[in-house]
Amino acid sequence: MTTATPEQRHLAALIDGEPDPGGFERAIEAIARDAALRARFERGLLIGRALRGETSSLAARTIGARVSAALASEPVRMRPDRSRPPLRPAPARWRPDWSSNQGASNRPAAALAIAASLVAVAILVGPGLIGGPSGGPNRDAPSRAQPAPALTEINAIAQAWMVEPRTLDEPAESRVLSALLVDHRERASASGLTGFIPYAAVVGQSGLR
Amino acid sequence: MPPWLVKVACVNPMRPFFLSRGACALIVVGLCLASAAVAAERAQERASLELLARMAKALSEREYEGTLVYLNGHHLSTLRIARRIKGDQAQESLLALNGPVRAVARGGRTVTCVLPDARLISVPRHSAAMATLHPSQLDVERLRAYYLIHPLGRSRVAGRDTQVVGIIPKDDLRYGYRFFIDEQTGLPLKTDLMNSAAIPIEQVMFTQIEFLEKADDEARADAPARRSSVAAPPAGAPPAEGSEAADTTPWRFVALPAGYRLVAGDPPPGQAEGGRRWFMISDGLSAVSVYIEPDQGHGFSGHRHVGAVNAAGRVVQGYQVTVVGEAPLPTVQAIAEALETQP
Repeated sequence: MTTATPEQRHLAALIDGEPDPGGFERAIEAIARDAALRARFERGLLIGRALRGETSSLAARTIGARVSAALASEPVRMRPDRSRPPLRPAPARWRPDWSSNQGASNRPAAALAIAASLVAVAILVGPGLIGGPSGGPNRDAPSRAQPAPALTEINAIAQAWMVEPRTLDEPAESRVLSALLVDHRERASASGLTGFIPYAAVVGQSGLR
Repeated sequence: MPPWLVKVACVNPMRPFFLSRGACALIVVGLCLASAAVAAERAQERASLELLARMAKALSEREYEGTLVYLNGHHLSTLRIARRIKGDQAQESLLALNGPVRAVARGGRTVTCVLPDARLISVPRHSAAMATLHPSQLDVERLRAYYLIHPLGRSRVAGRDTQVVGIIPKDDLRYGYRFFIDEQTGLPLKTDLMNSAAIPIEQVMFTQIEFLEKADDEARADAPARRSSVAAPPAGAPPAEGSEAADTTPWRFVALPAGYRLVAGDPPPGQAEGGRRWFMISDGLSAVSVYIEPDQGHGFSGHRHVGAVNAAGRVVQGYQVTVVGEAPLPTVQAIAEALETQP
């Protein structure tokens, strides 16, 4: 068992959103100069997000779409639903039949869904627990299949209800732009009317859109 | 000629016309009323400027801790803010209390931001002594053409009485402000960034604040005055000029949006770090930064925004031009388009 250093204690308080007086600045300084501490900070953030149910990567956000795509491409029997008219007219070929023989015909889909869920958990929690900060998901991996339109709509609605936009897979241009934004904020606040308070816009937002 | 008729100056001296004394009296009263209205407007403007000067002073001198809410569109964040002064140096910090951990620490020499996913960004801190936008005072004469500076009454924020001052834009090329200034301390307890239609774009408001000092103006009378970026101008004082001498070679700005002009800039290539040039374009209140650097393929074209800050990018002759500022998107885009190489 190791004893936590003051920096680690300040960091833990920072991750919990409850920094001690003066501890906030010390934690920020510590993670700015110590790569190992920064990695620990990032792991703490990822684990915290996973526990809170917040997604943290673009790959994780598209898991739902991938599962949907896999289900749509699953060779289950497709036929129009005769027991209940659809709420919205849609081509019958895009609608899977869930009303009969579910236990038999959809077993592969259920297995795939479970497997996909495990993959999602691994992607969400794995990098923080196993691979460290560099063990993130491969954002360059191309999507293998396009989801069906109806499911895409559902995913779009779900995405619109996402709690926080993510930025882990932010491209280089956004990183550069974020740095310019901070630099501009600093240069303007040195001269402007409102001092430090406009930084609330930098911290209040989750990234460039 | 009846005694109540008065001969007055006329266009044609051969045909003098007459006004009754009543008409003359009406004209005189009208002129008096008009001048009184102008004087009252100027008095209100002056009172507003004094409040803004007090606000700027409080922002640079006060120590406090508190909780802010930040509202942009439907996006709401709660933030913890702290400001302390150690020696002659202010240390400030902001921490987002909801969502991913985001923080800013503004220390002695650097500003460090922890953005989502623990990404760190550090930039050099710019002291008030390097202020470029308001080098000595708010250029009221310049602002008057594009803004109306006016008191907007009183309100109550975080349980404290405030006086409200508006800096209202007269066109769509700039944003305006509404400051709710604490009557006791001068600190802005609520700041609204508004567009020309008076619709709030971004709002920052204290919900709780604790001042870490009891000092009042008298107690600070002996302390060396910190530099304030805003001051009510003395009568007859010349307007503040920015760094007009900023050397833009080999670039130049043509057809900037109305009221905007170059006020500051980095030194020419060779002295600028990393080959990046920086210029500030301002209308006296809104500040827009222009960054020019060799295109390395990670720049962007088009536009982005974060809160009320808009960014526009384009590539000009192998250089990435990025314009970032708290101004409407058409203004930011126009400034980006205004940059070209000198012939």
